[in-house]
Amino acid sequence: MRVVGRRYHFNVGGGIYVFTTLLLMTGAINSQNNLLFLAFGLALGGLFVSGVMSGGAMMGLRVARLAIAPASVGERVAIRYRLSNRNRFIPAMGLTVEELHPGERGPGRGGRASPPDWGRFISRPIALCVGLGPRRTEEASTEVVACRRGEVVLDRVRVRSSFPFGLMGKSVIFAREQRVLIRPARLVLEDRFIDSLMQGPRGLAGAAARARAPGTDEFVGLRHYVPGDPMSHIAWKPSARSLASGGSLIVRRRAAAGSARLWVVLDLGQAGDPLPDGTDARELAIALAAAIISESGRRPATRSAHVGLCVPALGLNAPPRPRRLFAEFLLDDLARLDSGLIDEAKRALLPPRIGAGADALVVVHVGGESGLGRLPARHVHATQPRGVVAGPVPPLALDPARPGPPPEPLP
Amino acid sequence: MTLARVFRGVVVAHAGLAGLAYALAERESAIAWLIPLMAAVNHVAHERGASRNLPRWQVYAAATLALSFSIAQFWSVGLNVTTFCEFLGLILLVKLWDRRQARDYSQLITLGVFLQIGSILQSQSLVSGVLAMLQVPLLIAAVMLYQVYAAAERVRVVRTSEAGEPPDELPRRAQRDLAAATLGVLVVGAVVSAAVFLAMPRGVGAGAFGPVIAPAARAVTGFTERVELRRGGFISESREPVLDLEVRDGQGQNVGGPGTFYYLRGLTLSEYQGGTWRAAPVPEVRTQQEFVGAPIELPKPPAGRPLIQHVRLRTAGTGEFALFAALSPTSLRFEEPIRLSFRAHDMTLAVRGRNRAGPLAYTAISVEPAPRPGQQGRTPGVFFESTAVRRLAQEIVRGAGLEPDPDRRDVDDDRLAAGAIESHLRRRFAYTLEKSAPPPSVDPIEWFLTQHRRGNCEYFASAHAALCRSIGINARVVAGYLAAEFDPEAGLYRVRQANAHAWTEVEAAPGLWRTYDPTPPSDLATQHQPPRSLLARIGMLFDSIEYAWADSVVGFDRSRQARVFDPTPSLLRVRGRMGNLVDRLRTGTDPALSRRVGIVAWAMGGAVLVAGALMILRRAGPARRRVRGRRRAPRAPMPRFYRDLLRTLARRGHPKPDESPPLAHVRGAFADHADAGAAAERIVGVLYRHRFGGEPPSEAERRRIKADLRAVRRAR
Repeated sequence: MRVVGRRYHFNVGGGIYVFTTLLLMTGAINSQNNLLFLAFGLALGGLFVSGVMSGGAMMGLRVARLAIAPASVGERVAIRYRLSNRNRFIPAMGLTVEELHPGERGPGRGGRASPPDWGRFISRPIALCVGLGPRRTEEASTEVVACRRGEVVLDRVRVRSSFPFGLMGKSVIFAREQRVLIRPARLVLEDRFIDSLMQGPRGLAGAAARARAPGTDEFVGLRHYVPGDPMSHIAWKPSARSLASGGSLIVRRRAAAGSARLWVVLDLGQAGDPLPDGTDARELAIALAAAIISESGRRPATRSAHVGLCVPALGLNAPPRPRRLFAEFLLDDLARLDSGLIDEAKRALLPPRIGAGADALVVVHVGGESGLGRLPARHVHATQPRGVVAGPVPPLALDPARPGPPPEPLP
Repeated sequence: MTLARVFRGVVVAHAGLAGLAYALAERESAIAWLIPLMAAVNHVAHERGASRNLPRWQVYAAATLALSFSIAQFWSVGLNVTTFCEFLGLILLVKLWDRRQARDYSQLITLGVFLQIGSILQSQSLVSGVLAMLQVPLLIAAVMLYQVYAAAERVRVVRTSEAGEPPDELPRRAQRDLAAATLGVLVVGAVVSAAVFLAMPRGVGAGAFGPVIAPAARAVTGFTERVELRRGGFISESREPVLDLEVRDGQGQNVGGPGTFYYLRGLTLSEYQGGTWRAAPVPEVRTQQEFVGAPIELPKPPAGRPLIQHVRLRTAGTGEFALFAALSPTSLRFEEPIRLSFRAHDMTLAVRGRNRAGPLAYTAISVEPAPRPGQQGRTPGVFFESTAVRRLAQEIVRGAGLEPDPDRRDVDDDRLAAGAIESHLRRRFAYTLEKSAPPPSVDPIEWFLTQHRRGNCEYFASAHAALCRSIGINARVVAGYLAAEFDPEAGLYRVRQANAHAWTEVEAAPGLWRTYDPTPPSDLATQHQPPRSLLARIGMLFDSIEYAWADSVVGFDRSRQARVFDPTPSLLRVRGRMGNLVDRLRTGTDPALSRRVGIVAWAMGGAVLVAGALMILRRAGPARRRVRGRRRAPRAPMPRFYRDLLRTLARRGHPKPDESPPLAHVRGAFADHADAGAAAERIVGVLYRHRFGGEPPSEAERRRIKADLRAVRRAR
């Protein structure tokens, strides 16, 4: 991350220090007490050392924000920072690393438009690095609560410290844009509902059985290695290129032919009234769609099924692809859905070939009637989650300022 | 080790040490002694979790009480360092039991700093200086740790419990960095401090603001301005040094030595009434202007050889106090502005004001007064109102073959009469340190001479003066010190509180006074010579160090500063000094120096030996560990929480087989208890991270482990 600004902050402790130093000086001169002269000298030495140490350590500081994994609403998002101290002699201690709000004062934007504020989506990220020795690199991590579905843009990080004596707080601001996806809240579906998708002549179970017939794997593309991938799937040449540029191993993506196909159609109808418990029906519909995509692999027979997603009102149409490889992308698509972009005209239009070749078709409705209601499919209504969602519906949005009980006092 | 634990320890140690420093500086303050004691108790209680903080209302009540007490003190005693520091100490005591946030710790640190400054203002002794030096690294570490702790607290407050606790560990590397930073700050701070100490102009601006907070008046000298014979008790045997004295003759030769005593006159007491000797109210000459550097010439009597005395009073205030000098001082020289008073009739000196408290150094040149040509005769009308005393005096004088009646006695025989009385008192009366109180209706001198017949130097001096006066010889009591303890290493006398003494002066001719000491000489020597025990020798060594401290640090004044910044090239000065040193060693004329050089050589040799041994041990340590490692792989000690878990499982009938890994063992033991199994697995997870990942459990994890252990024990 590049350094975009440095700031000094006045501390009350600094004021007290300066006042005490002046007091010592006055006392020493007035009383001619030699020990007070020594103490005054020590206080002056402290001032000098403080300036040198804090300036030296903060000047040599570098920060990198590491990759952030997406999370669902209500879960914790781990944000990790890699801090390096390039100074040869001076340690930096008591460093706080915090993300700046786009609206917060400070340099680093260079005339560009502010990204949307992350304050609605996550609680404030702030990490602590207890000590960073000279020429050393440490990681500081923090966990924030994902409070609302959406895409979070983090652009500036402020590293702050008042080490060694707290005379002045020093901060360095680093800039680099990074996006974090907050997926819809995780819902646990009723077993009966999953079973209803499996059963029937065109159910997923039958299709999965048909798909187990001998066939060859089809090359779909390349992706980054994740733990658990077989060694035989590693593409060594692209891996070498990737590793040379600081990346990770690359594996080949393969898709089994003839898998069972599940289509999820999300009907983002007119936003109706909130549910009796205050839940936003549209958010619940999105969460339901996400739950169906992720939970459809709960049965061993359907783990290799293909899953597709269609949101007509937003013009999103992702035909079924292998669930194991694409479900995450579909969940990311759901995380990015912006209700403000709903096109009522498109909502009525069904994309061509929707549901074509599907072994199971699920339409999730927000409310109100639309043409999608006539599809020969399993229809789920966000206004009536009972029978679909096991147990109570968890909160779909939290208050970032107080997502949980207050912290305990210090031990 | 957790950050909070380290920080708490350092802050409480800082506060406790500040309290101890203040207690040693202000020994009579019970509150001061309470601070280190309470800091220790509080720390133990806090770390054991027995008692953490007082409820808020109790804290407010205690603070209000402390404030009320301090206001009452200010009202009755006035604002001085003692009352102000006692107020700080009380607040510190309250704050020790109110440590909730980082802010509370910062207040403790600040209070400790101010208390330390208070102790410096109160005492500049070596002990105070050493404690202040010990305090500095603690203070630096406390302030640095505070920055880290406050940052951790800020993170803790901003984060919510849902978002998890910030790390509370203070990793070993961070501890090392912190120690290195503390050392670096200490070194740089010491250099800057020394530079400021040397370069700050002395004497400029002294007393410009007046005694804003004056140190409390303390009677530390053992010297009193009156002799009260009716007071019972014991003479002070305190070994606390009062002053250091170097005596040289006119040629600059040190004329001090073991067995040579000097009477340092402080005040003459010539008025006796009701058992108390007081100074006569005579006019004194006061200096209006302040003298610095230049000698103050006093009225000079016809004199013999001069005696040059370099005196350093260890503790002196800003008010009025007596100065001490042998014989009759004719010239005085100070290195700081001072207002002086001089009483010509008895040749005594007193300071009537100075700008700063602390040690006072001066040089006095004295002479033995000699009679002027034609100066003879006797002061008429001298008497002492006591028949018993007069009768005894007549008896003594008659026994010496002299005429007791002053009208018929030759003036030249007065000296012999005074000597006879002195001799009689020395032979016939016993010396004791116990101060017995006479019956109220009897005059103390009569009681001493006729009934009790034993007493201390005050009684002897009083009796001598009274006996002399009763036969018409003018005499007075002198209060001061007897310089008897000579330190050959330093070439000076060390005068302590216990060396306070009283003797007499007898008028040989009008205005010409001779010294007599009727106290038995053997007892006097016993009383004033330093003890010879090992402890006493150690005490003397400590005194030497304290003198060096007082001389070079506390007493660093304008003249010394001028010497430091002397334009003579340092190399030349060093070469000159080294040449002198080598000459003295070669000729063997200075046995003290040879002994000192021997001690230094032995110390250096010992240090080299110890350093070598340490180096060998350090090198041998890893090699020994390597050899041991070949024989047996080192095993990390089993953590206590895992031992507890194993014990619980063994009680439940699931002892751990050697071949079973911990996780498999707990899974097997709790196959039918999902909750207890999960709890046990969490404990094992921490064990794995601790043993194989080198991550000791954090505070939060420890709490969780305790809860999990309870869950495991409760599982049925």
